[in-house]
Amino acid sequence: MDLMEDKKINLGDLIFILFYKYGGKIKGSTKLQKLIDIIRLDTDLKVNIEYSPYKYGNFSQQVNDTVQVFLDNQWLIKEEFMYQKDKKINIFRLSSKGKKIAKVLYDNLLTGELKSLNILDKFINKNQERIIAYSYFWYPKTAIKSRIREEIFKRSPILSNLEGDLEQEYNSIINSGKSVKEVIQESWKC
Amino acid sequence: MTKLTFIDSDILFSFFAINKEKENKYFETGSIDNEDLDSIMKLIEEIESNNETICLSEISVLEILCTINRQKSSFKIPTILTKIYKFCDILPLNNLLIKLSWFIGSNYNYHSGDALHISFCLFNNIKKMILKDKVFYESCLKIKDDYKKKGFQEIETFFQNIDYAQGVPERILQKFSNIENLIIKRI
Repeated sequence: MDLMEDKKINLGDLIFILFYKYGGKIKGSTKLQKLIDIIRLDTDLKVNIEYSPYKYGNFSQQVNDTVQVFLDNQWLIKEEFMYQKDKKINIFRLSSKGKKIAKVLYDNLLTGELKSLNILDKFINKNQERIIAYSYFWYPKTAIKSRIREEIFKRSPILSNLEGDLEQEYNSIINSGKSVKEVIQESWKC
Repeated sequence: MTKLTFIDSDILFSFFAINKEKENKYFETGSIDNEDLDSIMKLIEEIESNNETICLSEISVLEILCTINRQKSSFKIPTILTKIYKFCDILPLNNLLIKLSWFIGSNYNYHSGDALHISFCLFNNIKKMILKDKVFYESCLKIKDDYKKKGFQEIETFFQNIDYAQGVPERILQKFSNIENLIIKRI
């Protein structure tokens, strides 16, 4: 068997497993969307799912639909949490029924599948914004329609970021008699 | 709608030669006593006052990073990169954009990086392109002029002669036509 062969995983199973891995609770619909997208993009686990860029980055209606099925079956419980005056976030928790299913699925994962899912360990204590930043930085195509890019990258006026960090390098180039453009073009030769 | 502005990498590099002292001097006296940096300050003022968003490709970022490295200052890269993200939109390239740069690089006087830059601007509906380099600037004007005179004739002929191309995708032609409205400015 080819070791690099894609391992297929069902979306519903993956959602159960993600919740189990995250202690039964995921704060933010976007966080759940991003975690699944990162698995799809960063691992050789093959999830049968379509994503396309939307206002918070890559989005899949299938994820929302599947979560709704979980809610309808009372495998998940949803709570709304107001974290600012006009901003709320959905918090999803596994129900006791959901926890039993998730545990069975998690315990039956193959070593390779578990290893693939370990890439998500770095996000366990990270909030939704940090996961979105990861997604936008590494996969900028997912952010092309984003309405929150400025917020995610903590956009600030140009001058507030200019502290002469390359003053010495700039002077060195100019004093050598070259233009910055010439040095940039030389950099293509390295 | 956001006004997207592209700035060439040498201009972006020069941004980081500005410090608070120079900034204060410019606002107090109208000059830093450095013609090049005065033009940079003027540009920054213009971008900020017009609420323009600087939009660059990942290739522009690469040019900056390689240049910093060649100046033996690679330890500064994480700081510079973080700052670039704080005031620029960084977008990726795509397959068709690169093919358009093949046409541009094959027919006009461009360094390969600059062929990618102009192609990036056309593909991302950039409104204004700010350049300092004379050759780059003149080559952009030449494309604009040729498009005005000949439309898609040259790009279609170019790809027609490539066996596998079998015509030019509509999306490339549509994006290429952005050259007509692209403002190309030299500082």
